[in-house]
Amino acid sequence: MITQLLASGLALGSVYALLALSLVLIHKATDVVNFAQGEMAMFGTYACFALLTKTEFPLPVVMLAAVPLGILLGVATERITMGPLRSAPPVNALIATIGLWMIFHHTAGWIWGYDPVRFPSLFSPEPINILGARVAQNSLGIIAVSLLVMVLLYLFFEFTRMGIAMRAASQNRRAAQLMGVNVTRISLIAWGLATAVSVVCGLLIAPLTFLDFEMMLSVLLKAFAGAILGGFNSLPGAVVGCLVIGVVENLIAAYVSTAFKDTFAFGIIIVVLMFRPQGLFTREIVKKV
Amino acid sequence: MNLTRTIVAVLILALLVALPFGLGQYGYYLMAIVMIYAMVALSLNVLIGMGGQISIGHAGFWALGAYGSALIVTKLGFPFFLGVLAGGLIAAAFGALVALPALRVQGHYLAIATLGFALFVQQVLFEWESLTGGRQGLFVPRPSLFGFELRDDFAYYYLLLAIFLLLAWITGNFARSHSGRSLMALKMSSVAAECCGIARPKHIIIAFTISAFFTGVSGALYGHLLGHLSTETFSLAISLSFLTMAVIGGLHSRAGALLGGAYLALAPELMREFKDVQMVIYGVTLILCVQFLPRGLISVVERVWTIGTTPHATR
Amino acid sequence: MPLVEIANLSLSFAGLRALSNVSFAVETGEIIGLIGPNGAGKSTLLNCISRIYMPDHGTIRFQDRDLNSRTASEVAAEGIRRTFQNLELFREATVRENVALGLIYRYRTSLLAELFALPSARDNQRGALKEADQIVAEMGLSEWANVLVAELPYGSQKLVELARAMAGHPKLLLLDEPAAGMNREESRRVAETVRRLRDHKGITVLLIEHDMRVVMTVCDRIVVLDHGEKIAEGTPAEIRRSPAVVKAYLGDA
Repeated sequence: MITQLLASGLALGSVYALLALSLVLIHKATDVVNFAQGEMAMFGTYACFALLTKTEFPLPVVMLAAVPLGILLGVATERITMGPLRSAPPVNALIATIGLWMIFHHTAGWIWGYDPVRFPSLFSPEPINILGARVAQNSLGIIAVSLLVMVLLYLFFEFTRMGIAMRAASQNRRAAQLMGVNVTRISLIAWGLATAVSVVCGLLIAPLTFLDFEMMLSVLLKAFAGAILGGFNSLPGAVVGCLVIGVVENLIAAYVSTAFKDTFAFGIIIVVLMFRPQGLFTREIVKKV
Repeated sequence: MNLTRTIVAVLILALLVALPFGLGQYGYYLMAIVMIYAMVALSLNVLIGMGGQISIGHAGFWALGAYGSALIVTKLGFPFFLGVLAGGLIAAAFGALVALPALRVQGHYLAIATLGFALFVQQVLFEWESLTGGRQGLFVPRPSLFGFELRDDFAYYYLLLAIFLLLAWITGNFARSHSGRSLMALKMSSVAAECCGIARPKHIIIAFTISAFFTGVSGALYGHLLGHLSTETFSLAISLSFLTMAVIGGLHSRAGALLGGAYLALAPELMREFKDVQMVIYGVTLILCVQFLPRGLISVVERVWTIGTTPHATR
Repeated sequence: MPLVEIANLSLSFAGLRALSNVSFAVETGEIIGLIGPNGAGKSTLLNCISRIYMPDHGTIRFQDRDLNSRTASEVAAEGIRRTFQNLELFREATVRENVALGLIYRYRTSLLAELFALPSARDNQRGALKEADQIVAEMGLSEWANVLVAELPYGSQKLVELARAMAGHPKLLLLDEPAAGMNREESRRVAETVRRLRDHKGITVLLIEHDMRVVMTVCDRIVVLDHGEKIAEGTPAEIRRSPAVVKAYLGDA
């Protein structure tokens, strides 16, 4: 029982982690928190579902198609909305992402309807035996896919030219600019990459919750909580933070009550901000003049 | 210069007083809604326009004001006015509580905290059935003044107008006060302001508290207008709509707040046919506004006005 | 008792040492110059004193009280005021308003009085503006009082920043390259102003400056930093003769 709970908690947490990674990725690259990230994930997932039902491609193919689709969605969104705001005060970009939130949220409902739809899963919910413990296959599948995405991200930032440039830019924007790193390009890539990751997140969560235009709100809140737990500036921090959130959520739902399983994240956000605002893993930040 | 400002103010006031005549019951109701929304827009003027802080959870404060006043009037038998004041104060107290932890960190944490807060408030109101009626909702008595019930939205509109003007006057005082100017200094450069002896946490808490108070008062007045409250009203969608109207009207002007309130109250009426896409249109207008009209629709009005009155204007 | 006592101050950014075990003291009424090659940690030191940075180790005492537990605004209110290397002005405000913002923290009324524009609040506003106008006049900026600072030439903007710092009645003034970007005549005037502030108002000054003429004429003592470490301290004459300083400067060139 407890291993089941832990495994499904970790699975949930790794889904949150994907969305949190998207949030932190864009924040590190451009200083913008994209409040529409969850809605973009939901929109991409609906698009994949349309592809699935219209073309009858097999599910794994559609899941692979999610990556270019997400990149396209992210890049187009960045170009149209964020590009013109690059020199505006930061609060304007924040407001624009809230506009995006409304657009994606209600366009999805408008096109695809407001009723939840069953979304097929790659993995069966049947438990299997691992080292004497019974663990649901779909938990393992979700963890595996998330892990794969994280490894790919790691390889990108560690070994590709663009990834290294992005890391440099996030540490010192002015210096990176002087070294010829193109800020516009970095923002585009961050949005593309982040949206692709978040669409994968949507595809993993849709089979668990049904595909629904409301499905990402609670995920967004928990991704925020996880990211804040991890300091909001560190990709591994966000992953660990979200895993903690996923496990805690499952334990609360099993042993306390399911009523507040979505809003407990708010409690975590407040507690972290009060006692350890820099997150669990990072040092206190200093202001740059 | 001061004279033209006074003339404009008098003209707007005359318009607001004369407007409802002949509109009919539904028209009165809409005008009342305009005022109620305009109060929220005013509160966002303080928070975003002066403080540079953003909230996507003002529905939470709105709800606290509405439920607070309704409960105090029905359960404790307080008069309507005290209920509204209490609604505002309850919201203000929570405003300070939400701002407090988020202040130690720079950036967008406060916005995230407000999002969580609003969802949390909505859920608590929903779950706490014994107090709030939960799913069934809560009946709220009509507003009354010195023992007379304002049964008609026509009369209520004038009360709302008076309260809006009071809040607008307070906003203006705040903008000129040392606290208000300290807040705007922090927005321009927080490092410079702090090195001038201006404490960041204190002033952001002040901004948040005032903003939450205005919104709470608005929510309280809204509850008494509707006569019935249910938690669905205080959704994320309304928080986002608030933000939209405040930005579109103009975050740096009290007349802009009024324009924003009118936009949010009347746009749904004009967009009846495309009900589904209404929120999409809000989103699009919000982004276009931030990109091309960052000072809101009111800046267009002001520009037209200055062109009309001062042909030799240098700037 | 010295006005400022800095002891074993260290700070590093992402593993890079910006300050390493720096100690020195500033006596009341002194003008101390802080010099050193680029990246020596001079601005970092100033930022530690005005509490924009939190040092990793070491203490800063001001009037025999520890500053580490205070915030930037508290330190400013206690009488440590500053200017910035790259100008931190309120760009969308006028000269007069910039100076006024430097002193309004001293004019406090209750928030309720402010919200309802009670006489006490309005008197306060008038008082603050009057004092701001006085300082604007003293600094010779009256002509520009109602001009947006962003529209002034660079040199005048530096002056506005100094005026804003003066508005706080500082006991200690931190100046980060006050003469940067100025011609010979203008720098001479800056040096004169700094002298005058000390002589007439008794203000203690800690200044960073690259213009050696300014440093050598105006400072009583000089502290030299290199790679985050203090390599020398003494009178201008002593510093000129110090082999360590010569090496640091020439070694860099």
